[in-house]
Amino acid sequence: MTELLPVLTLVGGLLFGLITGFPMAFTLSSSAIITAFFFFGAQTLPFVATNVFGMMSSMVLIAMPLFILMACLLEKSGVAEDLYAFMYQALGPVRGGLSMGTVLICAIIAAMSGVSTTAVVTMGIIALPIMLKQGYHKSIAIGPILAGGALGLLIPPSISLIVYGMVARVSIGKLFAGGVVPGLILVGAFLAYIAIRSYLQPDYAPALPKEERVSFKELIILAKGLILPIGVVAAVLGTIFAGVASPTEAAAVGVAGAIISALINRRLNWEMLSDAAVRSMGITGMVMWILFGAACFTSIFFRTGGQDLISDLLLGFENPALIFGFILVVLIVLGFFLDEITQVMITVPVFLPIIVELGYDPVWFGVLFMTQVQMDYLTPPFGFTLFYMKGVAPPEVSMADIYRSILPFVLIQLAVVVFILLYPGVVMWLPNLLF
Amino acid sequence: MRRILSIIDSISEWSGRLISVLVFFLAFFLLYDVIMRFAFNAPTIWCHELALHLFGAYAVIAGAYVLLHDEHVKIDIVYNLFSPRGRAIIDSFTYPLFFMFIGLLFWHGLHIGVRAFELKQTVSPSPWASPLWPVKLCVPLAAFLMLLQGLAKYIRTLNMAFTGKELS
Repeated sequence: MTELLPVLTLVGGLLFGLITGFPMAFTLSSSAIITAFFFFGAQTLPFVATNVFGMMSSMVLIAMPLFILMACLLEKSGVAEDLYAFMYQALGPVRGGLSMGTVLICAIIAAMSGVSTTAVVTMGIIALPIMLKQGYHKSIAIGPILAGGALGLLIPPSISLIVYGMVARVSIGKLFAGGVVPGLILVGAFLAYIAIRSYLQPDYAPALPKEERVSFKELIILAKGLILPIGVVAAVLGTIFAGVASPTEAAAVGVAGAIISALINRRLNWEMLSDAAVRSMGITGMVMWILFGAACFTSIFFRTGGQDLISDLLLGFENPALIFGFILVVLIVLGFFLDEITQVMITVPVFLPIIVELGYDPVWFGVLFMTQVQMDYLTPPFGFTLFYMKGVAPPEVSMADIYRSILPFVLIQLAVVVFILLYPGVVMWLPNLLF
Repeated sequence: MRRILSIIDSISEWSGRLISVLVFFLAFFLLYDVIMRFAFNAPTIWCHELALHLFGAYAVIAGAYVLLHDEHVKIDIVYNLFSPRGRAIIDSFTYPLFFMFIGLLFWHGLHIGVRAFELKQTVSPSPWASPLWPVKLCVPLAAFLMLLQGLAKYIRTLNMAFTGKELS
């Protein structure tokens, strides 16, 4: 029989942190410590150090600082500007072309970077002012940047998928492969929406005026900008999918690729290297400390038997559709309040055994999870990227403009979540093919 | 007082900047292993293990830098509704929990680290069998740095809560 009081203490601690703005890392760990002290005794307290140390010795997590470093280096290496210069001329002459180009560039950046903010910040600075100057409606200029940026969570390499893989003990390579097809479906759906919308409303996203277009020959010259980023992506994902290197080693390959790209673009210098290293350390430290806190939290959560409580409750529904409905609603509601790393750390250990018991693949669930988490990035109140966007956007863009712009894209994301839920084969096709 | 606080700040800043360099070593060793394995068919026994030690130190010691720059993720929907002084008052009630966690981490981390040293614990199973105590002792070291930075932060928070003014 599970006692309810310890579980309630833990959950109460979590709520306390949500309300008081106490950092998640310390909220999670201190609720675990208080619960352990009062219900299991002071002799259990060394669990704090053992859990932190356990999290530090994870081979899989080494990929994280490396992928972050790779993204920071590529951001400074000028590849995004080159990509945009090409897309501007290649797609600009079509109605809505600049928005579509932005989605495509975001997808490429997502494939070079594991965090979603990279694309939002770079495209917000490079692409947004140009689109607004060309007379694009604010919604069709802002929305694609945010929706495209969120793709970073799903399109490999993704830091969130790495954390998921560590918690769920599944192959990161498989997870990365699983993210590819849903990511492409999302890209296709975003492009289709923009194309249809701007075809029906010509003044919504006008085509580039004739005098600004360049000849085909010049376009080919601009296409050089594609070589470096696509080369780096191919090197990283290629080595993983071909089974040549583990994701951690592939991340090291990516760092080398990013340094070479910067060297070719003549952007490599000590200042840039040390800036990128310090930023990677800051982001890694931030994520790792959440993981430390969450490791303490989940270990005590298991001791309280909270896990059995929830799985008894859920399996009691007996109807898989109802169980999935419940899980999705919980994830979406939690997503309003929690960042995705905390969310993965505390919900996956609880829900995964249930998913597996129902006969589904953990890889599929991970991809479903990340597709769903993308919506959290675009919806208030915890929409990270919305605030980044406001930070880099020109002053005439208000928060209300940003909120308005995301609606169609969130609906597309929701549709894709439902699609993956109904047809797991979409996710599993590539991992099964490769591994 | 301000002098002490700024000394603590620069300790955190430089501990972070110093360990940030480790990421290049991580990349280098892993890459070296891949190249040895594929080009020369001679995988190393030490690269992955060394990377693991370096990463452990890197991850845990980064905490103080993140604390200095106030980058530990918090859910600030309600928190941001308050004035800076209101937030300082909330923090002066919540941060004792931080000291409880980091204090325990320091104490038990030290204990585990010293035991690893005394028992000469090594990574196992592993052909290289490198000692575990250096990385284990990084836990109390990181906790100590966090305690210092936390103390500086708490003094500033209390000052803000009582006087409503920043203490630079």
